[in-house]
Amino acid sequence: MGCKACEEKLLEYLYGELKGADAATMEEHLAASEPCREVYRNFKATVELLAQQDEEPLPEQICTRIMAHAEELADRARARPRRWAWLFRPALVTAMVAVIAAGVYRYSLRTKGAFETKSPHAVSEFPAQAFREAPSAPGEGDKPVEHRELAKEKEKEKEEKPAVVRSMQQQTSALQTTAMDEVLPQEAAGRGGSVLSEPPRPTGEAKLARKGDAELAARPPAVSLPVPAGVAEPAFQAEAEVAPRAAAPFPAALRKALELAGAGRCRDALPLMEDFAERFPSDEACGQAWIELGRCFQREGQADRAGEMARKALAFPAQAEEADALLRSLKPDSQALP
Amino acid sequence: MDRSDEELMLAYRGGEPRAFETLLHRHGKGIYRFALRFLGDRMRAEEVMQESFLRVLLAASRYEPRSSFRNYLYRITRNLCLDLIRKEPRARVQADGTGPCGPGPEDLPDRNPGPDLCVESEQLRFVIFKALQGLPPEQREVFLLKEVKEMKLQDVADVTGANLNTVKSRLRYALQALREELSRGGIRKEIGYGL
Repeated sequence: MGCKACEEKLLEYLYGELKGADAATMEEHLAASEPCREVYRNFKATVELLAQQDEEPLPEQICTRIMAHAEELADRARARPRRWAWLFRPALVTAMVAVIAAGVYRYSLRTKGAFETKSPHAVSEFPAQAFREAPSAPGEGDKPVEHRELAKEKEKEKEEKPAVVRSMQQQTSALQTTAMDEVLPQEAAGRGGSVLSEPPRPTGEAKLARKGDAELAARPPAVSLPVPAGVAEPAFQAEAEVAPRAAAPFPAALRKALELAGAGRCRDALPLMEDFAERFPSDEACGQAWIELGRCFQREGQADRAGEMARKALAFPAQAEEADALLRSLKPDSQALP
Repeated sequence: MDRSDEELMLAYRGGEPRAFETLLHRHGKGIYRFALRFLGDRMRAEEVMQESFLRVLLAASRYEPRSSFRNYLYRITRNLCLDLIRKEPRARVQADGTGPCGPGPEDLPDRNPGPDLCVESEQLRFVIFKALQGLPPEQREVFLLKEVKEMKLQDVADVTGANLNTVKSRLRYALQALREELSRGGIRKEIGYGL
């Protein structure tokens, strides 16, 4: 054994971990090598001196505290399995799993139905179909089959309609203040009429998107169909069946204004109408709405206001005749005739 | 026949608190001695001892006898000591204000000099404590762990997480430093052991 090997094994020998032949070889080397023997002697002296230190007495107070914890924790460990043992009985576990699975299944069915029912676009985009397929009795709307059919039609409709129309409809729905499935009872004064199938006029991005869509630009103007006075939902259903499918729904803000006018709330309808007219001054639907609003004011006995509405309607050639008739009917009362 | 540490731990886990008492009396002294000599502070050594056994207790429900219980216990103690050293470096300053020094008189072991002690026991204790506190923690821990009965060099490597050669190297440096410190303390002439 050389000094290098001795150095590597010296500590094992010092602490008595070297046994048998290895220990004998080490002893031979230490006997022959003075430097290694000196190192060994110093290490051994140091270790033995430090080992002479007195034994420290165990702090009894700490031991008592530790044992108190040990007993407390052992007690808790003994109590824990008993408390939850019932959870691991097979029959109970099976029953619990079955109940949870049934609940999850039922919930998933309900969630699916609710999704199809509550989608705002399902009705707002296709009011005609919604009315046609709407149940006559409350509660029937929960039937998932009908709504699935409605959703299918909606998908079909989406494919037919250009993307521009859809974006316009989304813009329009943002203006909506009431649910679109509420029916607007139209006052059929005179010859009676409805502007329900009036397409919306796009603004902003929709207008930009509309550029280049020649087909859409060449779309026919508003379709007005006669509706008997005082007839509500069934009349709309019939009307919707006749109305062309490509026609977009009437602008929501205008619809609301007309609804208010029909209910005799001309003052409430006027700001909505003015707002709409300000944003879409050339919209054909405006003319029709001014007429309706004028009639509303006429019924309220506010001839001057009615005259104002009629004069605004005169700006629209399609409504010029009606506006003129309204003005004539106001003539005895109105002082503001042109 | 005495049960092994691992058997005792399993017995405690099975709801036998007395098994842990046996473990406490088997290793308590060693743990306390290690902590006291490592930290040089009686109060902190007691805290570390208590915390070490409490941690073993809290982990008892998950205990699996995969390795030596003794090494596991010393590893916890060693880590706690190192944490304490890092968090609260000793603030005691020498009387002349030159810097940190070794343990004070209250930290020295109880006086009980053996008949074979060659030098004044009081002086020897103080010099040894001072020499130990002067060692870097990684050398001190290796030396003190090797002092534990029946702990082999490989066990020290297991406890400290270092490899065997690193442990040997640290131990060699520790012994040399201690030897020099003892010599400076005037104890050199008293130690002379031949082969």
